Amino acid sequence: MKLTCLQDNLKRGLATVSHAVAGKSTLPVLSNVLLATDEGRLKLAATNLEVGITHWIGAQIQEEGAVTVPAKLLADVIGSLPNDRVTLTLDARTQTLKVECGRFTSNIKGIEADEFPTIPSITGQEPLTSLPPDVLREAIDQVVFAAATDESRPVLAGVLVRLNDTRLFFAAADGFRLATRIVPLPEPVTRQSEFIVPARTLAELARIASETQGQVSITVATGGSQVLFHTETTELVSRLIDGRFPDVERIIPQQHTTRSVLETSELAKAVKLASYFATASQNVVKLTMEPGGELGPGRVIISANAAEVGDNTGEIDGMIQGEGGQIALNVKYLTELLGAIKSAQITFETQSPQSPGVFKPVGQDGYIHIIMPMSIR
Amino acid sequence: MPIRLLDATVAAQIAAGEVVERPASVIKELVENALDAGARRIAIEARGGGLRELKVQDDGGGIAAHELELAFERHATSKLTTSEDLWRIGTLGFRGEALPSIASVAQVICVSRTAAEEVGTELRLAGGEVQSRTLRGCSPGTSFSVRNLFYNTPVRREYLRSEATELSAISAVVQQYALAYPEVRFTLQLEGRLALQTSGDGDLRAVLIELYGLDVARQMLPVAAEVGEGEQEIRVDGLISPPGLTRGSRSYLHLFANRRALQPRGALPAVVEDAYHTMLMRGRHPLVVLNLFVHPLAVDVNVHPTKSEVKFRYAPKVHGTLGRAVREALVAGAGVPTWEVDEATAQRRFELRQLGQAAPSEPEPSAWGVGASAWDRERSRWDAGGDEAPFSSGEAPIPSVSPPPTAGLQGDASGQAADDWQGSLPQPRTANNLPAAEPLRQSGKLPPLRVVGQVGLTYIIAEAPEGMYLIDQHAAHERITYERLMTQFAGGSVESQGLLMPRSVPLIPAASALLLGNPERLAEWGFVLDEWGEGVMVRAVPATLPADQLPRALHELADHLAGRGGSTPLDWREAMLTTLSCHTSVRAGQTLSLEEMRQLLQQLEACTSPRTCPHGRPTMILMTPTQLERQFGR
Repeated sequence: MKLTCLQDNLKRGLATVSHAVAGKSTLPVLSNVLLATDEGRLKLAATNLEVGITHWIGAQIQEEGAVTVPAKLLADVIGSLPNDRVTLTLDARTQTLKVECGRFTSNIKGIEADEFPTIPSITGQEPLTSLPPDVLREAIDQVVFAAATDESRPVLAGVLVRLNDTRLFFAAADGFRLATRIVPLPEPVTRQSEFIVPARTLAELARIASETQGQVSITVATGGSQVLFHTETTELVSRLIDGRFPDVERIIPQQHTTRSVLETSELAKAVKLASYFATASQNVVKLTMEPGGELGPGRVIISANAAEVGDNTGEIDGMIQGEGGQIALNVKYLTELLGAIKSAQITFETQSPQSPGVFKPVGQDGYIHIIMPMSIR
Repeated sequence: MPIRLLDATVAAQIAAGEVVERPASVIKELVENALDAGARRIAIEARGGGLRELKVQDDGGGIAAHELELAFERHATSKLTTSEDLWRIGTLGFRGEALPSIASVAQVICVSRTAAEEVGTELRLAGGEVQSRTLRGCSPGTSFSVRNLFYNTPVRREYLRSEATELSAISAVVQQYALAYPEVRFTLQLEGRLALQTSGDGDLRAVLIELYGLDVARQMLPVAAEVGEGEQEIRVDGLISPPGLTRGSRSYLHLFANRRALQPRGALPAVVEDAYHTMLMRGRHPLVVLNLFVHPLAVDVNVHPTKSEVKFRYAPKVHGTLGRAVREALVAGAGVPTWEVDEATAQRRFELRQLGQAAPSEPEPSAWGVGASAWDRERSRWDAGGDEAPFSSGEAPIPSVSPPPTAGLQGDASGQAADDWQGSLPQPRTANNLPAAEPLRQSGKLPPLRVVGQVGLTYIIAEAPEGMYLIDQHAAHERITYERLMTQFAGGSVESQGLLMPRSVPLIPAASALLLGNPERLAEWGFVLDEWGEGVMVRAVPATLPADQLPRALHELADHLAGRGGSTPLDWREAMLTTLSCHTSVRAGQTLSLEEMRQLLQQLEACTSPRTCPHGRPTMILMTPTQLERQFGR
């Protein structure tokens, strides 16, 4: 194998695939990255057997071939090289990769490419749909944090993806909160489909999507065990989570007794202030909605109280309709939610202190976030 | 068959059946008589398993010559005169049954002389009949020799256990009284060998050294409390073991009421062990020597012929005082269990005691850092005299003291003692300077700890002036969350987090019935449960409980409650606290950053009982510089 490519391309390519490199594994080859010539381009690939990422960069190929080398070492070496042409040469006998750039030469010992696990490829299938990367990324960022981080219920560690007609639906829940997002599609999907993608995979996809132009296409293998996300230069293949996702539509409350419309940034500031106290006790932050009278607007009082630390109260104006009331929420959930809302205003619907609070951005349809309250004493 | 009065001998033998059931009971009665007579020295001997001969000799008041025969009459006693006296008994005996009972089943030689008489009198009895009476020269006091016990009741003799067992029972009785009366000098000879000798200097700790060895005695924590006045007065004093020092049975629980030994069963031992709550591992029992003093009017000792049970008039108050006193002593003085001595060393030390030699003094701890050696010396403050402490251990402070063992424990008792030494490993120890353990105990607070690192993702290594600490991260965090939860619960603020989707947890029917039957109590802790086919449907959980721990926490909770009957609010509180604190704490196998470990230790330092986790396991063990040096052969 002998080829020449640009240091910058190689550096970014390695950064893209590096997230799929297994951190600790009993299989040494999994901490390596695969380099292979592929139809006039250089293919970089890494996998931890759950997720596989493949990335192609342009290169001048002089001699075909493939090898795997330690991912971290290669990324460190390439990252330290000047922005210039890099020549990679493989000594097939010793499986040593020579990296030459400017006046620097490194030799990196590798493992034969044959030992690298095959990343499953999904070929001969029509993609279900394709959509612009920034839309996809925004949608993922709004739901993925609500997925469970523990493995006690595997389906909740994933994000539900449902495709029908011209609708892409995401849902993630961890037992205490639920985030759903509907993305309208320009064209109807080729086939209705529903599957659960590990949240980690989607977070990875969002990162890749942020560096991509062109469309991202989604393909699910016929057996329903793998999903492929494809962009011009990158492919992400992931296993899917087996199981039934809870029926989330039923959880979303259809009525409310109080509806508050607040400035997102003001609420975020007030919540941040309260969080310093809330985190010291049990993460409880209390929201009290007071409807406005004839003289002035309504207001929301945000308060937190920690027995050993102290307490804090903040007030923001808002448009409050309905009877008002009080609800206690986990400040961590509230902060994460507010971070995901990009619109200037947010609506907040409540019924009773025991029923979930429903958050929606104003002027952006399709996003609903629900948080279960804590008890109020 | 005609009814008739039994003749005196038969009646006495029947009575003897209650009072004298084995050689140890004879010893008990005679020792009590000696103590009641104001003896300062009591010598006890037993031969042939106590059957051939038992001898008890004292230097007490003695029995006047003309009263000697009367003493062996039934219901003859000098200890009470009217029935009112029965309600304010200040002596150990009072029933007037002991001597005639013993005399009816053995051959007894009693030699006695009061200080006022010039010569003593010897009375020989057999089967309750006086055989002879002669004058004998002797020192003041009384000496009993009981020979051929049960010679005329072969059946009872048949039912006795082996000689060794009887001897160990005798030695247990003598131990009890030695502990209750540290000011009396006890000497016990079994089969001609010295088994126990106390100094009689009034120091309870000195007695404990004789019984359980220096290390144990040194670690014991003092207990003292006093409440009430007059008839309601209750005083508690004695010594108890720190939580790390335990035994596998209750036979090390010595409780006395007005210096009368009580059986280690019933309410009182339970009160003491409850005070050790969360500090004892399951199946372990503390070593305890506690004397309860109550007004004679407030205690009824006439419950059982051997008087091993008593009834208190103000029982709840007595229990409360006792429990509080023990708890206070523990909280004030809980020490850290030290890295165990290797078995060989313990054995060697024991053998040296056996041989009647002093154990070689431990090597001086060399400098563990300048401040540390100063600390070793002062045992009080981190920086005390740091400047004056040179690195050389030449002029190192306190010479290690190993008190001359006055008598090796021998025979059966020694076997028991040997078990103490070996069976109790790992045996917590503190540094080897004799007064060392003392200041360590003065407060339950931790020394300043410097985090060194984490091993096995389970233990935190920290350094302190007295050596290296290994801290169990889970146990430590459990203690922290336990105390935090307790405060939260006391403040009525255990927050509950509602579940978006109710979560079903399968449980056995008994467990779900138990949980569902108490919705209010569960709600106090943040749980909201509903009925569900194979278990319960959870609608809300305590805010601090991680979701993945929920099923296990519920299972454990049900188990806890089922095990205890789960009826009282206290049971609930305990079950909830231990379960929740266990499941909300960092587990073993979790990587902690240096900062996290530092935080953990800081929080641990703020706890009231930082040294044990709520299940009673130690949170930390200490390896002293001395031990490290020994391992390295320095």
